Amino acid sequence: MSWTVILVLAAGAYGIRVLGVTTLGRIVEQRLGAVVWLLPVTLFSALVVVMTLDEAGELVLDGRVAGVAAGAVAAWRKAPMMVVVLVAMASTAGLRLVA
Amino acid sequence: MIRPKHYWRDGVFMSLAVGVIGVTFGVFADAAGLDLAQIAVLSTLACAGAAQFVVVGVIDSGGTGAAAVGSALLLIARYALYGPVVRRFLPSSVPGRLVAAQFVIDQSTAMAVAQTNRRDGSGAFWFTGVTLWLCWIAGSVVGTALGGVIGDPEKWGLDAALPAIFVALLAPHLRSAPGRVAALGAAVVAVAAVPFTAAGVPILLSVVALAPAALVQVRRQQDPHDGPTSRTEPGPTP
Repeated sequence: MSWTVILVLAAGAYGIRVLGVTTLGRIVEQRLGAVVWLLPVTLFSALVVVMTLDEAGELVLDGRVAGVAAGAVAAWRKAPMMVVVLVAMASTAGLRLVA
Repeated sequence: MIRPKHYWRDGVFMSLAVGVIGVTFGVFADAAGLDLAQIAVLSTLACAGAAQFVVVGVIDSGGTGAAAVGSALLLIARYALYGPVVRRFLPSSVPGRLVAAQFVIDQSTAMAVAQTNRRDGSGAFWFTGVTLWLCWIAGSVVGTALGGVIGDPEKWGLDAALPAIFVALLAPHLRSAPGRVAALGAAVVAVAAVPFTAAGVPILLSVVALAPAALVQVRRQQDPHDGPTSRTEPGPTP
């Protein structure tokens, strides 16, 4: 892979981040006001869905679903993050071992 | 006096988990023909998890540089939406913000928002952001050195680790009605968008769920002059 691709991506990533903490960020923060905290809630929820169900642009039900569901139960029962993640990994790995 | 902060434990754990995923990135990028310097520079400067897999994957499968960078930036675009959320926890000086920008990522945003005051929010942002960044770089380098030594990471359920981290980060927000509306709405939008849009787009589209969630929050405020029901104190307006 060429260095150009790496450096353009790095510059783009940094530019996007800077935009967020400066001009764009200020405008969005002012517009949203007291509901700004809901912004990461929507993004994280979408991330969970994509990371659990998306396989190269298609919705797929595989071992990840069982793991994330088990992790969600643990999180609902107020388990610490470490427990949530280990329960999820163990469930997914266990299912794949059996299947 | 220095006391262990409650965000240290989750911050360190997430960073270690991300470090392990960084190892798989190193293995993946090494197999795709990147050298150690390229992998280290990419992880250090971009520090962008899934987007790095995408850029390497697109190039490796014969795509153009423009397509690779474009696809990756679609995944990175959401970082611009974390800025408005973390701004109140960042230094007010321009150089301070320019340094802080490098550490804006999902986990540092989540940890900052979860704190109850500005000082802890700022501490959680920097601690999580820097620790995660270092672990991601270290993991990538170790993965490059290991090459194909480690087997299939999916055997260990590693692909369930990251969504589970986000489930844990999301959970506290689901205890309020606006949070539940935001999460449910975003999930529905994402599911609907995945088959029809490029990677990254479903996540960006999910912000439309803000509208019904904001409506719920505004309606639940008995007195509009009663102050915001935000989980974090309103920061100083710069």
